[in-house]
Amino acid sequence: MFKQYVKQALHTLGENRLTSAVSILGTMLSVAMILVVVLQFQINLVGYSPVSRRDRMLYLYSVHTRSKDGGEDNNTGLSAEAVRACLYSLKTPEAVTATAWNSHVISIPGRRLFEEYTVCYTDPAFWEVFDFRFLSGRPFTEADLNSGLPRAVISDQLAGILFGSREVVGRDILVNNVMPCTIAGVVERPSRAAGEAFADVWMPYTANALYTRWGGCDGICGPFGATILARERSDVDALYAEIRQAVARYNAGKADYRLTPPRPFTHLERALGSGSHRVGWGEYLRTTGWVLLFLLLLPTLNLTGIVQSAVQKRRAEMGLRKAFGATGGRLFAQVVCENLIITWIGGLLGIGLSVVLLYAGRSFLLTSDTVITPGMLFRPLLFAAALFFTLVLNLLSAGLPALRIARERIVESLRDADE
Amino acid sequence: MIKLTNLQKIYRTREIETVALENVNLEVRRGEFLSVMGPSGCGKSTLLNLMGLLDLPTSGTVEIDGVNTAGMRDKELAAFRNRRLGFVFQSFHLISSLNVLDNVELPLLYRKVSASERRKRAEAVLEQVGLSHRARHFPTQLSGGQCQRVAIARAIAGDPEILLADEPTGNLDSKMGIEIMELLHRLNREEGRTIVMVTHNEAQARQTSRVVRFFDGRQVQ
Amino acid sequence: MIKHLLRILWNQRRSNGWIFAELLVVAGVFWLMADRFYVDLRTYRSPLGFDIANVWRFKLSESEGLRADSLPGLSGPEKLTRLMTRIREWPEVEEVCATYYSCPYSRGNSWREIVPLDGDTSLTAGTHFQIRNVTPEYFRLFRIRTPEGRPVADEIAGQRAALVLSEGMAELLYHGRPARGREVRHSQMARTFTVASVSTAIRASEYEAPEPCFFQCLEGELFNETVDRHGARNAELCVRMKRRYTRDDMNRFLNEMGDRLAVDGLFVYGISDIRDFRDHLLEGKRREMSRTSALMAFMLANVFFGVIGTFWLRARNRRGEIGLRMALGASAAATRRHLYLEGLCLLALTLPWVALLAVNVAAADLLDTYRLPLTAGRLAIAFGATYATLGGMICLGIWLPVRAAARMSPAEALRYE
Repeated sequence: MFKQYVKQALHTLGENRLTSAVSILGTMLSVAMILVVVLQFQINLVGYSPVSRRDRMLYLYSVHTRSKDGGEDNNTGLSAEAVRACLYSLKTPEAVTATAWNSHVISIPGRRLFEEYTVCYTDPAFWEVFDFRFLSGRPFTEADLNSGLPRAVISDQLAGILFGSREVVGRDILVNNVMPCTIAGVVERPSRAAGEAFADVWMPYTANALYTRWGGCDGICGPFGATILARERSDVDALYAEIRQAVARYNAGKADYRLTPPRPFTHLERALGSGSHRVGWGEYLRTTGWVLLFLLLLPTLNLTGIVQSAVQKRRAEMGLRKAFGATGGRLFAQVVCENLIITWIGGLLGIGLSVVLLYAGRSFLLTSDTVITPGMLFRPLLFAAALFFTLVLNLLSAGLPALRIARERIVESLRDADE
Repeated sequence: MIKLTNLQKIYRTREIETVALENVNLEVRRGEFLSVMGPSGCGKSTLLNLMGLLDLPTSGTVEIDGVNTAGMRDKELAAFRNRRLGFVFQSFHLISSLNVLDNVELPLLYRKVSASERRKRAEAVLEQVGLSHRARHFPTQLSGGQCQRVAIARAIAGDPEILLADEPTGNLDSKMGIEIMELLHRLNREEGRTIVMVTHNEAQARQTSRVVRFFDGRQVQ
Repeated sequence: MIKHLLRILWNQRRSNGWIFAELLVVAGVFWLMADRFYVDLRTYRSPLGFDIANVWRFKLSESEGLRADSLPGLSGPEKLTRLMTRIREWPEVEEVCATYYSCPYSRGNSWREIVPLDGDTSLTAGTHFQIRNVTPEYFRLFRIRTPEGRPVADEIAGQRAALVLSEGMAELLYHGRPARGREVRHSQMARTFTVASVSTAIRASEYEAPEPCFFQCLEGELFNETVDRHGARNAELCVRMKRRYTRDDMNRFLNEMGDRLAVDGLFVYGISDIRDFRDHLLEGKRREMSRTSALMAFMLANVFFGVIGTFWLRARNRRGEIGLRMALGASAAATRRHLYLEGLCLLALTLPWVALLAVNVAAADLLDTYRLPLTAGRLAIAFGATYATLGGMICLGIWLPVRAAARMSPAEALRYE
């Protein structure tokens, strides 16, 4: 049965080359645009080195503090003190790391440079949460953090720029042309898409007094966010409970301000766009959903018109099939299945085009100079989305004409064809 | 075999009402080869459509093999047509995007028949109409007479007891017409199929076992 | 003719319905986007009020924050002044100025309530204006001019406690009467200031409308107060070079400057072309426009495909007719023209609906009338662009099938009859 549909669909495809081409191209374009949106989401969602364990990662980027008299509200990051008191002590997660970013000029002793790079102030747990590939050397350690000895990890790219080599462990760099720092290790530069781990230089936050001393609102507020590596994906509630306890203890020692216990974002929420506030599926679909709908609407109108006239041309065939015992449901299925071939060809090509479009438009679709690797793109999610949206497109565009022809009276379709 | 009682068919459009058939009572017996004659617009084709359950009468009943078809649902009608009836049209109505074999298999497609069984049965009926060598051709590559023979093969592929033919030789020259008539007669005589044929051709009508004539929606003979 | 076309379109409404619906949606959305683009373009091309060519921002730091020993000696304002003087003395430098939260494209902004001593006090009560804290060299460095085209720098030379109002603010306070020489004061400060000059409208960026604002010249005591309050290292140090410098040129220049870039712990740690700040600030808008353009291209491609599909089938269905006419000697051009007209007529039919949409959108105040008033000209341009583009796309879409149909020989075409 399906074999015959396929045969017939391919035959019609060859017969009406132009309309077939137009239908396929239209579907391809629409599916590609939709997949670009899907890919943007997917790149934020999927894990790859150094963020391979994203499915277990939880994020705390913004916290809320309120003065005890209730007159002042602040939304900021955490101070080093608050991170130590409320997060480092947690037992539920596997690891907790605090991170703060800044851009500094990096040069080498004896040669002043003025180029700025992204510097991440963090702690040794960073290297447990994120799986960086060390090309040489090793991470800075707990001892480095406590001694406040400036030891840094840099990216291979920066090593190349500064020294023209990757074998630079033990050499010194100058941060902002004043602060000397010894290189402890060199890692492969992460993609900008891994925003929670990206930097050119990673150093213990204790190396910069500004970061240890920084503390507004009774010393609660500061520059830090935190990435938490949970043991199990389902640990969010347990973790939140533990954070509440820790925060309650911490607040007890504060005179003027209280920290509202923050509930971490899950990685899915972050991929959906959570930053300063939580974004769930509902909000994501309310904004992105409209775009997707619009991207589906136009080709649907096109395809419906084409399917409609193609089906009208075959009214006699449909009448005949009915005369020989086909039910309305059978004919509906036939039209939809035949059209599915076209939309699937379009969808398949659309997958390819979406990758091209994403690459061409990466400057305005992703964070600039994001490196895109095949591992980020070719995931089951992409193919599932392609399949889903081609099916939707197919049903939307072929459904109405198919319904109409299936309901048509046999005599009329046969007679019209005789004329 | 087919029993029409007080059959009436009225076509209504917004402006006019056309009476296509009025008070037709007709019984077609098993194994009969019946010709329906009459001028254009006399209601012959409407009659055939009603017999073939392609259209519903305004009033009256169509009984086939003792089963009253009134009140049947779309699905039941489809199944009934599929098992009991075979159609042959003036303009063949072959599906141009399918080859001869696939065209002939069509009625079997709507039954629970395995692909190999379908193929075997289609090849057998093509053999019967003398076209097995054309099984892989497409309809556009065949002559009119061959097309109609394919159409007849398709009509009998599902092994129906009744064949309904609407001017089967209307689009063919006389030589091919004769071939087709011979084929129909053979199916009637040798296989005992009941045939109802609408025709304009007096000579062809005379060869059949009974002729009924229509004029202006009424049976006159 | 039109009536005949309309009748044909109506008779073929089944096949026209879908393409019409598509044209309707596209025309509506396209018009909204075209209008936004036009407003952006007009805004982008109107004068900014300042010139950032060859201007670099020097970033300052003080060594005490970053684990190095600091040697307190000079005061903050002294360090800053000395650093500026050293840079200015360099022959390749044209001018140096310092600002606080007021550098172009810096996102920094602060607002003050200003009370004119002899102007329209009622209007401005409770109104805050953006203040730009700048040293007097700012006006020469960024080439700020009066509405008449004179350099503002010339007018403020030698003035004490000088204030420069933007054209819009002067108009708000003095309603067209000359503003120069009048006295104003900040609502919270007892001190009075003199309006030394009026500048052209100043815009925050290429995509924003000018806001009424004023410049506070940082001189003498006011300079010292401001630097002490905000810290010398937070000053935005702008340097205009005498000619176009590349990043490498600048690095070489800074290297030559060497230790002269540090005054008692206050030092230049990095530089950026002001255009980098501009690119950064406009990044969001650029992304938005790229996305909108991509969506517009997508819509046009769909219209193109839809029109090709619909009219290809139509031209094919009429192949016999076209062949017959050609055999009878009628010109194929007439048939072709007919198809084009049909397509354009279909597009024209969307016009009343899109106009209705436009009226509603305008009535609901969803159009950007802040940056550009809604005039007949603006409507005409947005509608014109929409319909010209879509019309072009339709003709392109019809051209393909029509060409194929006309290429047939009459005999071949007649076969379809």
